[in-house]
Amino acid sequence: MYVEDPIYYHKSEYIQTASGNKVSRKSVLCGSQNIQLSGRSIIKPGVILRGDLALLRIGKYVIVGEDTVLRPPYKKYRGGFAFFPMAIGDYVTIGDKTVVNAALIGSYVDIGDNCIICKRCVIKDNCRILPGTILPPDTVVPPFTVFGGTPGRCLGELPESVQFVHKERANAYYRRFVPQQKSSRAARGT
Amino acid sequence: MIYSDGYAEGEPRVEFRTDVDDGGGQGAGTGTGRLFPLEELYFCDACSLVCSRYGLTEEIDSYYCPHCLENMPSSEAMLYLNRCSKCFECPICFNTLTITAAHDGKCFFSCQFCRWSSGEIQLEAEKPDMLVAAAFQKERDSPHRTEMNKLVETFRKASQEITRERELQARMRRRSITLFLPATSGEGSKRGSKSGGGAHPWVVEDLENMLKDKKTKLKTMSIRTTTKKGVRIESISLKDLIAPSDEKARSIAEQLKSLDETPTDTIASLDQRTRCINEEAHTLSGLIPSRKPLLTKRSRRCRQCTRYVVKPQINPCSTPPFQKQNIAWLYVPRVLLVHPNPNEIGVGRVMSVSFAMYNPVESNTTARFAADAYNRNISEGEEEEDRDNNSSSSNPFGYTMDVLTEPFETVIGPHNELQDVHEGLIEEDSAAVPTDDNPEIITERKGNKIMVCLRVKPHDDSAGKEATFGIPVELSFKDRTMKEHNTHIHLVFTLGIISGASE
Repeated sequence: MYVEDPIYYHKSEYIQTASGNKVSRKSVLCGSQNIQLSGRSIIKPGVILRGDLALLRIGKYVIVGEDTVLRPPYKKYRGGFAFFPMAIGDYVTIGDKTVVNAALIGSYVDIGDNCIICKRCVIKDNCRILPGTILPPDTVVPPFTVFGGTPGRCLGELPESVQFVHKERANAYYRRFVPQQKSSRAARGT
Repeated sequence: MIYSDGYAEGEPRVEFRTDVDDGGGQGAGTGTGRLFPLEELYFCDACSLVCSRYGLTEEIDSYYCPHCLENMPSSEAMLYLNRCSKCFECPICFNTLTITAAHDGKCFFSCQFCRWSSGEIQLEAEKPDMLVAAAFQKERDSPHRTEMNKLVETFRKASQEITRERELQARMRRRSITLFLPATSGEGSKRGSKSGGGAHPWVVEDLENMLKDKKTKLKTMSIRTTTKKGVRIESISLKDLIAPSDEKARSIAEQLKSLDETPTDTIASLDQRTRCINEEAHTLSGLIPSRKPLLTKRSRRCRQCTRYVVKPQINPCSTPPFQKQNIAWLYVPRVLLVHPNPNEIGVGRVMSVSFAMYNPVESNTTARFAADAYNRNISEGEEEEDRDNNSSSSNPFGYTMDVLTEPFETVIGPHNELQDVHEGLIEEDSAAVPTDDNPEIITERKGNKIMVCLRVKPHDDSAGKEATFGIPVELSFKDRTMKEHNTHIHLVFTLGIISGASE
């Protein structure tokens, strides 16, 4: 792990809420009345949050990467189909270009880039999904495990400290994600 | 198995060397130890020792299914052969199967990923419970399993018989030794045997014969003598394969050619066959769903004081997940490296390395850095010899850099849990930490963080090698219960690859 430099963003490109959420103006929030952000979360450009389908509850220190889609899961019945609410815990990092249809994502979870989390998956606390994983429908990811591959399979276990590692990672990312100051802009020649 | 991403060669990183007997109290092992990131280390608060998983013993507390998360005691897990009694895996892609009802009301297993269905192997039932029972029965009825069970039973009986005989012999030997005790106590056994008395039958020849017998027995039990000899694998030359000269070559060539005609997409892979070992199926159509293997909840104990270091909750999904969780992350300062410039790492070039240290405990931590402990001190005469053999006594770990900074001691401020929540609102209590730092070494200090700068120089003969150096650090701190701890850690820094050019 390194002491990393700040990640700058243009203040005009993000909306910062009173609770510290930083939401990109280039993201698409469908049915915003059904989207709950607890605070200090970052929604990057190109993200689509489908609050119009069902309730979307997102915890604190959740980082959603670029071009990612969060879509509540559904279930087909004989008479039709119904959408279920999606809940995401605290200190969760979701990578770029990932599609999430899970019913539940616990806290201290790390999901890599280019993943597909199919409908009604349950990802418990303290686990990791490697980049490029496809989790088939109704998959359960138990705590302290690493899932990867196509279809996603348990590849190993995580050490007991993973809760603190993922918490620190999400925390550090939020700290580093700062608006670009005039001086730093001038130094970069922008 | 702990999952690890691993490191590329020369990737800048900081690791901790554990299980090494360097005289500093880490006597969990000998030799050069192993390198671990801080995330994989533990701290025994009873003996103030930082250790890896190899310095701890593991015990399985409970088993649970990774899909239905139902936990079971070890006796029940044994009964079900360490597999879940309800959840089944797809024999093709190993995804968990779901039970689906068809239009005619029959239930069958279906895979949501590869669309495999148990209807293909005529595994269907009226109700989901009956389907699970049918799959279970299919597994039990496997002829290979029945045969294996018979073998296991026979061997178990034979083993019991051998154990019984051994015990009987041992008892007899003990009895005879007790009987012969007077003979060994100076009476002389030969006299006894000559006299033909049953009380003293022991002679030296008897003992020699006994040892000889034992030797012959051992010889006959040797695997080498019992292994079948003369097993030969059929081989064929490329010339014979193309144009077989004799009958034997012709038959082997025909067998090999027939393999080409088998459609490869219907052959089961090795992974699929090992997962479905009862069936020994060669084709995909012969595979049947297998039950999901169970995962374990394990507690860890210190090897030295045998106290718990990690004790999980029995339920796999409980919050918090541990009853006791003494991980090094909560006691040992976290070290973050400032990414070094790879162009600066060159033979004969002095460079500075900066890193940050974060104190995780709620008290001051005193850190004593023995910075030059593993510098290669080579006198003129020894130089050639030590260059040939890099493992000199001063550098047992083969580091390729010397630390030019003198040993130093510093205090790292306490961690404040509210620091993250109320960032910038809490005034750092700078008075708690002395400020007589050497500004060339401790370049910055804020809350529970210090920035350290060291000067290092690669060895003259280390071009093309990984740039590494190690520093033993002695830590003193108090935990939440105000118990004082003195522990040793061994930091290992890897900066990159040393270039040969020097300026």
